[in-house]
Amino acid sequence: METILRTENLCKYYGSGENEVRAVQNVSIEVAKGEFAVIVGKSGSGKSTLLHMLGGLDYPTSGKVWIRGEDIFQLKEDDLAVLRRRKIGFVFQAFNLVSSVNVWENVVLPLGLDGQKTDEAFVKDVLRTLDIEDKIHNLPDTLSGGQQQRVAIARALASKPDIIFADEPTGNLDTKTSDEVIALFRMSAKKYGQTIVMITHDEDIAQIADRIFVIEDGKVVSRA
Amino acid sequence: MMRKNGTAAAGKRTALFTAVLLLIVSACAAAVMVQQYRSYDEKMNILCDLTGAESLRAASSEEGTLPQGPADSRPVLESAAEILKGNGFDEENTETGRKILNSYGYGIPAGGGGQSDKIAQSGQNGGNGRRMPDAYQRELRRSWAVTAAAAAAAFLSVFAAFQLFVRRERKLQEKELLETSDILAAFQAGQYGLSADMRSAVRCAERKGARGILGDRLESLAEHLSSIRASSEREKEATRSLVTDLSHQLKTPVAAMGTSLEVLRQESLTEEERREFTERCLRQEERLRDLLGALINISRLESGMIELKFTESRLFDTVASAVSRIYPVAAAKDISISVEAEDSLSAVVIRQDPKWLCEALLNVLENAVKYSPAGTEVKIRVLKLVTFLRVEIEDEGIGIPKDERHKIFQRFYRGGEAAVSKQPGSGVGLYLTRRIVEAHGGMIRASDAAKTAETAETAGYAEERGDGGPAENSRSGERNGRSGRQKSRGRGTTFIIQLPLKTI
Repeated sequence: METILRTENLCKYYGSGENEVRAVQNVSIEVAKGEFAVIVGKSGSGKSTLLHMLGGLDYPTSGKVWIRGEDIFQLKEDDLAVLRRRKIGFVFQAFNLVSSVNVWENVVLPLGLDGQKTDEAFVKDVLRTLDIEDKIHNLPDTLSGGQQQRVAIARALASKPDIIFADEPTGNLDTKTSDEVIALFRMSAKKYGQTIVMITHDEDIAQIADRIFVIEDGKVVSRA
Repeated sequence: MMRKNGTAAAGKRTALFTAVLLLIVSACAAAVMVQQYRSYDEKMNILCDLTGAESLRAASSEEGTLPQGPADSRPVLESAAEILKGNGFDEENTETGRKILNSYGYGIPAGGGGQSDKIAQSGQNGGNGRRMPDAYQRELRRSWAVTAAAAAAAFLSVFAAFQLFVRRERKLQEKELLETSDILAAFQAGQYGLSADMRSAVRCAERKGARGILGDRLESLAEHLSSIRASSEREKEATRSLVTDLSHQLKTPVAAMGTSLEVLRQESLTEEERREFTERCLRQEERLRDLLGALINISRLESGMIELKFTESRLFDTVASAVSRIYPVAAAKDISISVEAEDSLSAVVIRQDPKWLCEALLNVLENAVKYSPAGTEVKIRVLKLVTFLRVEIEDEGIGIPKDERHKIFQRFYRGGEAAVSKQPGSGVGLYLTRRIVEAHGGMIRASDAAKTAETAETAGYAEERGDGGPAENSRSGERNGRSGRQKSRGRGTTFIIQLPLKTI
């Protein structure tokens, strides 16, 4: 299996001396292409910090992250930004939709900012897959939580990234909607050949993953 | 701009080239005109001075008055222009001029090639015979020649520079093409990575340029190819591990059977012992048969021997046939089975392979019945969500410990509890179920029965289980996670199966 994401002794410390907080310690993990990987941990276990480093949003204190064999923290800042825009998608718990523009514009906005041409047929297909094609003219605020997260997922899928990082994507949703959104997320990522790395505190959600990392106090304590 | 390939760029290049050329030519023409104008201007001034002075003198000698400035400038200008055009000269005047010049010692030898001589000659050749030879035209011709030469030189140098540039571009393009072809050759040889050189070129050089796009494309292609290779390797690996698992699974019953048969061969057995070992043999044989059935299903599914045959059909029929198949087993154990669903759902049609989906549901139901005590209930709930149909199969059985839940869908996995190993089973059913459900574009997971009880719309149900029923939502998941471990025994399990309502 081709490894798409790999870390080596990834560490993130805050503060120093007595006040030093070891948010992430010596994390070495691998995720293969096309996998649905889940990082499970309780609040404060360091899973978000880890995810931010995996996605190149935050620099580690030490250690390395490779995405498709590329040491991302060796890249120049601009190149890293380009890598993030083109190869990585993000989905957050808080959806982070732009409330003043409609669903379609929200989905294609990052493409426009990157100066890419919008592959309209593809975006439409994504919206159809996620069952929000009839909502494209709506403003985000008029949608339910589940629908908003679908829009956020569509936005992440639209730039055809290789890997999507999701930070508690269903944290704001009820169990049924959460199950549905995750099933949809997983199936659409599979359809478009994308890899997902998702963090959650819900071990039951972790069941459907191909790969599970359990993180406690900043350390990966088990993997399956 | 030159990096772009195709005819558009070539057209652009030609246009640019023509523009530069036009610019040079018009600049040269402008230069000639400016120069000519200056020279004409100067001559006019000189002639004006001369003729003006002469006419003034003539006027003053004739009338004894001074001319009135501006009113007289027109005839002066006109006569100057006439002189420049070569008119207004006659032989007499020319002769007079020559004589005057001679008298002051500025005589010009007849064949000396001097200016006056040439003027005289050209004058003699002129149309009217007596026209003033035109120095202006000669100069014009000369400056045209100089300008043309300069223009030609400028044009040639620009052209040469352009050619050089084009050649360099072409060389660069060629280099890039060769590089691309090297990469493609490497792809063919099975090395799907881009060279470090190309990769850095893709990253650093002009990410947004055509080369960056080409690099991206190549990378995508590399990935596509390597994923194809990986999937074929995965298949090979899957087959290998299946064979390993199979032989491992078969070993135990076959060995047990062998031992029993060995014992049976002894003649000194009592009737009771003989019965006992025959019984054991039969049990193992039964286990083998079970295993074989399961294995046949697995290997068919894994080796792709059976493609699922999807039809648009009613999920309810599939659920009903699974229930009717489990019903006798459940009834024998005094376990009741109920189905809760809105009436409208009975007509819902999904894309499914009814035979295999029934198999999948049956495996879950068998599991529920197997691990539930007598006198309990297995509930099947069907709910319609936005994109999925949600089927919940809830039992009141022994439950599955949280840390085992993600393993139960693995091939040949069986729970570590005594309560599990007591029951017959091959550890294949749920694995098969997951495979089938995922092939339908769906998802299956297990949960505490209490955790899903909220969806049952029986408000008292969750409370009865001692769980924070109404507060139960995903936000309090962590708290439940902790408490879930303590009550994971005997609390029942809910399997949640989600099937897409339409093709994803």
